[in-house]
Amino acid sequence: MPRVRILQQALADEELYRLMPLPFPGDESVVLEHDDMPRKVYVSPEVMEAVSAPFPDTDEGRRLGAFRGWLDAFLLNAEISVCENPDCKPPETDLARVRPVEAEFWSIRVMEPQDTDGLRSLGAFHDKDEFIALTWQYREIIGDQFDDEVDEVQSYWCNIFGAEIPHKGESLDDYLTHYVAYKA
Amino acid sequence: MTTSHTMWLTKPEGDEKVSLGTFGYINARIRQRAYDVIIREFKRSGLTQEKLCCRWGKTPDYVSKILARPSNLELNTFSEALFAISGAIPMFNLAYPLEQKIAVVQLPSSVPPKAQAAQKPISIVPRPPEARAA
Repeated sequence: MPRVRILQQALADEELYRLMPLPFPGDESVVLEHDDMPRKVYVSPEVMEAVSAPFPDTDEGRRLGAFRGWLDAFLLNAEISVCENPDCKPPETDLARVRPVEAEFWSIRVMEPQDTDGLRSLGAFHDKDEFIALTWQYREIIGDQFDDEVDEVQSYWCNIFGAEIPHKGESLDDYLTHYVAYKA
Repeated sequence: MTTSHTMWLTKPEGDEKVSLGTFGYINARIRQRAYDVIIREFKRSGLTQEKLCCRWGKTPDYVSKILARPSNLELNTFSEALFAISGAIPMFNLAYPLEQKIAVVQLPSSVPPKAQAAQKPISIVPRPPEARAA
């Protein structure tokens, strides 16, 4: 079954959810069921639970609020700083490839709040400007076991999409509009 | 079919503390907006980072950091960056999201998405200015 059909089925089965931005003043995009959002984000139930408002009055809530803010900004066509080199991910990068490159998985790098280690959410592109976020974890919990996170996201992907590989492009233009490329 | 879209934020009242999670979200969104303003102005300008460094009188490392990703910019940094890039001056206004009526109208699915978007289904009714000043 083609990837797009699998995605539709996963949405119908609630294995994935389509994320829509929280209402926030100043956003230009029209929020509709059948919409023309500039980008699309699909999330696993685990990610959806983490980024669902309201966010509690705790440090964890502050971090999850920042995570949702990142996702909503992405949805609304924000400029995203991207690094394609998984061996050279500077702190300034919002989105970075992870090894193995050919597997086509990426890490969302939420670096805020500044007094925290941030968090990471791993996933893959379904199409240009369409990202599927499957896993997430606080960076300090991942520690030096980042490869385990990559294994987890690959397994997650396989559970849903089987042998279908994520979207693959020749250059960043095939993945995103409105980005700032970090040249390592 | 018309459905109302509930604003998830709650209006601060009395001495009730605003949730850290709410601040986390708001900060992330506003940081990103400020960054988008700078980076899009920079892209539009056609300037090189080198030239911007000269204009702004900042080191390449500093300018690179500002252009690299959203961050908790000081107001001076924000306004200096914009002016150095193109002579732009940021303008400010406020929104009162909890005192507006936001409706999301879901049109029949037979209406093509493009046509739906063209009908601008979100209507926002701002509070009168005199009430806002109170």
